Amino acid sequence: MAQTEGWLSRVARRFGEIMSGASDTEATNTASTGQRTGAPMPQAGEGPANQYSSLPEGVKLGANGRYVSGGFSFSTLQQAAEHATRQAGPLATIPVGAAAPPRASASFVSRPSKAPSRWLGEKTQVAVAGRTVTISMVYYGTPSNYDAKHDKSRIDPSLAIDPRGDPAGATLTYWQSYDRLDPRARWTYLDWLEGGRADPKIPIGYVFVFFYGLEQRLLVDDGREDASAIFAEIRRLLSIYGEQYSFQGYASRLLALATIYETPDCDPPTAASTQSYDIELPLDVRVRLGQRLRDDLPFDADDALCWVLALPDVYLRTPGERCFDELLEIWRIRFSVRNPGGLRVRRPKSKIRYEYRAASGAFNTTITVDVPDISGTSAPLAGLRAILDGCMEDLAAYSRLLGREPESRGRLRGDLLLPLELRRGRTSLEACKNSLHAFVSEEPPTALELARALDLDVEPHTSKLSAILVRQMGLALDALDLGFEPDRRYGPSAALRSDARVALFPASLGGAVDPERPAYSAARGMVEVAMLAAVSDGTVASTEMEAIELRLRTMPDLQEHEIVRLLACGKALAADPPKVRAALKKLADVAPERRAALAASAVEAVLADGRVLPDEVRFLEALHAALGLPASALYSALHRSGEDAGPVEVLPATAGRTIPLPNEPAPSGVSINTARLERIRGETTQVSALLAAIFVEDEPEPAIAPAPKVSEVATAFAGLDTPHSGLLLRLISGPMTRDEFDAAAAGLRLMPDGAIETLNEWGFDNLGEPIVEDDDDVRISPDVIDQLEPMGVAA
Amino acid sequence: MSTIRRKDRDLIIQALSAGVVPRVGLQHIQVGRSQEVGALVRDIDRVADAGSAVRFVIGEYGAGKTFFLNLVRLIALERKCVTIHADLAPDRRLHATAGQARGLYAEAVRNMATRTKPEGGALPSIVERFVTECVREAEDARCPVERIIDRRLAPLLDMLGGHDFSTVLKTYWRAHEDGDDGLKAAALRWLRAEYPTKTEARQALPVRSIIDDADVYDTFKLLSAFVRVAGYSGLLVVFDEMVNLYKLQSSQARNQNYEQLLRILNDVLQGNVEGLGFVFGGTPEFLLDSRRGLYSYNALQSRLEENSFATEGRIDLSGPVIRLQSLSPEDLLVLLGNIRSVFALGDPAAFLVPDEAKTAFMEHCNKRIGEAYFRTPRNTIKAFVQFLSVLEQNPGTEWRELIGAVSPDMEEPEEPEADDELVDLRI
Repeated sequence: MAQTEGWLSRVARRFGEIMSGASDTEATNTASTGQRTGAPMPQAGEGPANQYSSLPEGVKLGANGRYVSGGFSFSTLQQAAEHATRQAGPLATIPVGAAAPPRASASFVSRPSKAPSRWLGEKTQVAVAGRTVTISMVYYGTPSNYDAKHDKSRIDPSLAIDPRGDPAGATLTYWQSYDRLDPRARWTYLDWLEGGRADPKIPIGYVFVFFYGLEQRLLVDDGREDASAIFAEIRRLLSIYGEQYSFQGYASRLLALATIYETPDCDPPTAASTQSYDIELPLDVRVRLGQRLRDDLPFDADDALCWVLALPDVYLRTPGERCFDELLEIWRIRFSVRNPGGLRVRRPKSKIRYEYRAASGAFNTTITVDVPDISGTSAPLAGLRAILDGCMEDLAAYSRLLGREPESRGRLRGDLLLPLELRRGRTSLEACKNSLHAFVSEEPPTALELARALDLDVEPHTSKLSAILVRQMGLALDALDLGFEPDRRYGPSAALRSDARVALFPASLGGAVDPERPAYSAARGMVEVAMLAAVSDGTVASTEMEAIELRLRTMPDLQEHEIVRLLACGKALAADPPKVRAALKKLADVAPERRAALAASAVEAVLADGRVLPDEVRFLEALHAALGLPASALYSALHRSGEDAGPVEVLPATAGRTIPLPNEPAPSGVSINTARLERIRGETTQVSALLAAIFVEDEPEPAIAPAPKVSEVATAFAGLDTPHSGLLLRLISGPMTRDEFDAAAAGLRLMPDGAIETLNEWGFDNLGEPIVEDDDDVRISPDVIDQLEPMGVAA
Repeated sequence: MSTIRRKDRDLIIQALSAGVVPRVGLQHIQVGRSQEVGALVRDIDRVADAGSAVRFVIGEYGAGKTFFLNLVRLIALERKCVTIHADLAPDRRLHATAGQARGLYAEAVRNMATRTKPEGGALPSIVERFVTECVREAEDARCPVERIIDRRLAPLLDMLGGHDFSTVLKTYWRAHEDGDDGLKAAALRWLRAEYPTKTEARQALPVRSIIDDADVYDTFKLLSAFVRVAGYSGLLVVFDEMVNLYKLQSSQARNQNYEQLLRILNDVLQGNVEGLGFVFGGTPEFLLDSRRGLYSYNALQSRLEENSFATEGRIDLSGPVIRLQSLSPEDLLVLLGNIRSVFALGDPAAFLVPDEAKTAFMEHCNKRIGEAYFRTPRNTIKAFVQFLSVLEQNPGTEWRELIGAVSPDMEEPEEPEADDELVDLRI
């Protein structure tokens, strides 16, 4: 837009230049004279006598305001003075008690012209149409012949001025020159000059008149020695009048030449660098880059930024303008990342040629500089543009915030939005990070607390945080190198309630994961289910979390940052368990092959605290039903919990150099765990000893005392009463049928079954085993008959 | 390992090759589980010491529940306890209204065993032994036998149904005196709860009641008191296949059964009974199922809940639940070693096969049957016993050749689930 205007205005000016044709100096002259006489001003009327009290010898001020010398009337004091000098004979020094005459003026002075035009480099007091002014950096004089090239700006003291002035610029036309100014305008112009050329409200036409002089001095009269002063002046003017597009364009083009005259600066570019409305690269940039090429140096970040900003179609968009410092900072970082050794560009053959078209339209100059010209090179620019666009894109959020709240620059909420490279080391961020790290280790904060800690505006009394706020939170935490869960960017979750717990964990850049990756989403499902299981008894024991972690770590194809996120996810779920029913519903579309693993993880989580409560079982049953798995598998799994807990993790596994496993001998199907085997062997020995003590067997019972000492005849079998002894004796003599036995027992007033029981009890106690066999017939067991017979004989 | 008597050896081998739990010598083949066995031994000692105990032995199919229960029973017998045992079934439960509880009781009492009659059917022996002793005492004291019986059974009279119980015992004595075998049988029939109606019982015996569905647990208490009076140290009740309660469809029926369990649990844990122990065998779902298992019954759940401090390998066996884990290959390896040792009568010099034969055998089974060979190892063991028998009877046979010929008949995959009766041994 701005550039279009600049371009249009240029065309308009050129057009105007062509159409206006020759000058009409005379007409203006006469007109101004008339005006002046017609409207005498009090100052002019009384002034001359006082004002010019020190007129040169032989010059008088005429009544009409003209200078009179030797009968001639001069329009300027100088003319008069020179005439007087000539009349007087020997040369006199230049009048007007000014400081030392500028060096540049020597040539003009020496020129034997009756109308010397000279450059007033230093502040000089001169008379202009009867007014004494102290001015500098202007041409001054009345040359004998008009030369557009030289006279656009020259202050011709012979031309009339009108003290009414024209501060509004009403009389100004577009193409100006001093001689064509209205006398009133000349007055204002002189005012402006005397006022230090600083009045920002002055119409730009006046400035242009002054500017014509500068460019003439520099380029037409080749005033190299004044160059630095001129450029300084132009810069100063730009700072005041830079808003005027047309002036800015011309001034910058002239200023661009500074690089030729001055030692080129390698200053970092400024926001102004891009404000070039020319269709070619500004000269300063070309020279700067050309010198690099000439010296065979790579472009550094500032060079490159100058280059890309100087391109006619590159603008700083609002982010770049509003945060140029940040832009510069980030550009430097990113540029040096992309081009660690600087940007090397092939040296083009062509040299810089620069055509300067004067603002005054009075001359064109072609300047050739002996350095390579970069403007034909475009290959590296695409990359540079991309970096720049990226920088501005990344600053967009920051810039928008600054637009809304300029005071947030330097505060946490502002710094949080800075691109990554700039965030590091900002103090507000460090402070916030430290405060948040407390949350990482302790109880998860609520979403509300977190948002407040992040200096975000939370609408009071909202139960759910808005999506925008959550997004800001995400960005802010990313900036703080913290991840959080539940994070909708990395997996589905319900809208964040303000009292929901948010689990934080340290993670570089927020620990982004790909939630769609099968391994991750599977693991996430597992964590959800396991957490549901773990919370199903109302609390989450630390062992339950550990079990989940252990399982995650054993899952293949899961990276560390994913595990960390999943654990946080589990933590958040623990603090804020979801509705079981809803969660189980989602399981319906879990792939069949993953179902068993899901269920197993849930069981593991439940078992981790070493107890199985009905609520937990209830959940697991529901889970199995939802997954379409048989419940019996669940009970088996719960039951097996007492088995070996598996290897205990001593040190967390660290990814080191991987060594391919040697080819294991093909598993033979039977793998024997030796440690376990030893344990079982040990237990077996113990139990065997225990049982052996119970099933006492190897006791040939010394209790069988050699019978003879027994005196009671009937009870030869120690411990048996008479009837049972008798029955036993009958049995020893030979087997009996059941009926015979019953009869024998009845004869002894015994009950048959009770008798057998008693005899066998006695046998157990004394011989270690039963003695009566009661099959088809009742007999003494052949194993013990040998032992019983001697006793029987004794009886 | 201690030496093994040839007779025991033969019994063990015979039982194992038939696929049942041996009656003797269990100490030679029991593998591991020393803590579990130790806990049960302490329970039994407590019962024998006029205490009480209850255990739920929970294990998966093939984990060796039945073997373990048998072992416990044999230990109890060895400690001079009387044991009764039964498997629960759809028609045998703890509580019912249509005779199923009575069925359970009858089945259990039919299986009543003593050390001298470990195979069951010991009720007449116990009764007769008791009566005989009473008769002896009566003779010595020169007073009527009935008075002695009354005096001895006095503790029973305080208990529910105690009066009829002692009446029936006296009737048994009278029938014996009269040589009335019919009446003796009727008395035993009453004691076995085989009278379905009071009318029938009244016609046969001088009692007005029978042991019915509602009296099962109370009668166990009577029995325990009785066997202690009869000279035994206590009564151990072993119920297996408790999962049948879990399988009850009616929640009311289920809960009533669980109420009975709760009664038992409360009585035992509070020490209200003397000389009575219970061991229940069941599968994990029987315990854990939150809708139909024991955990569905809140009062039971809180009593059975495991010690929350017994984690990470620490064991607390003081709780009523004992978990049996399924056999691992390592367990099986040791078991095979034990069997080999039984064959050699405990003499390492007489081992029929070297160590590598055991693993070779397991690998062979693994190939033939798959992983289940050690989870339900009954047939694996059977095959191993047969394998060793062949080697023993045919000296000079190379075991490597033979091993290929062994075919543990488990190729029929439906078998483990199919026949429940055969699952006597699941070491």
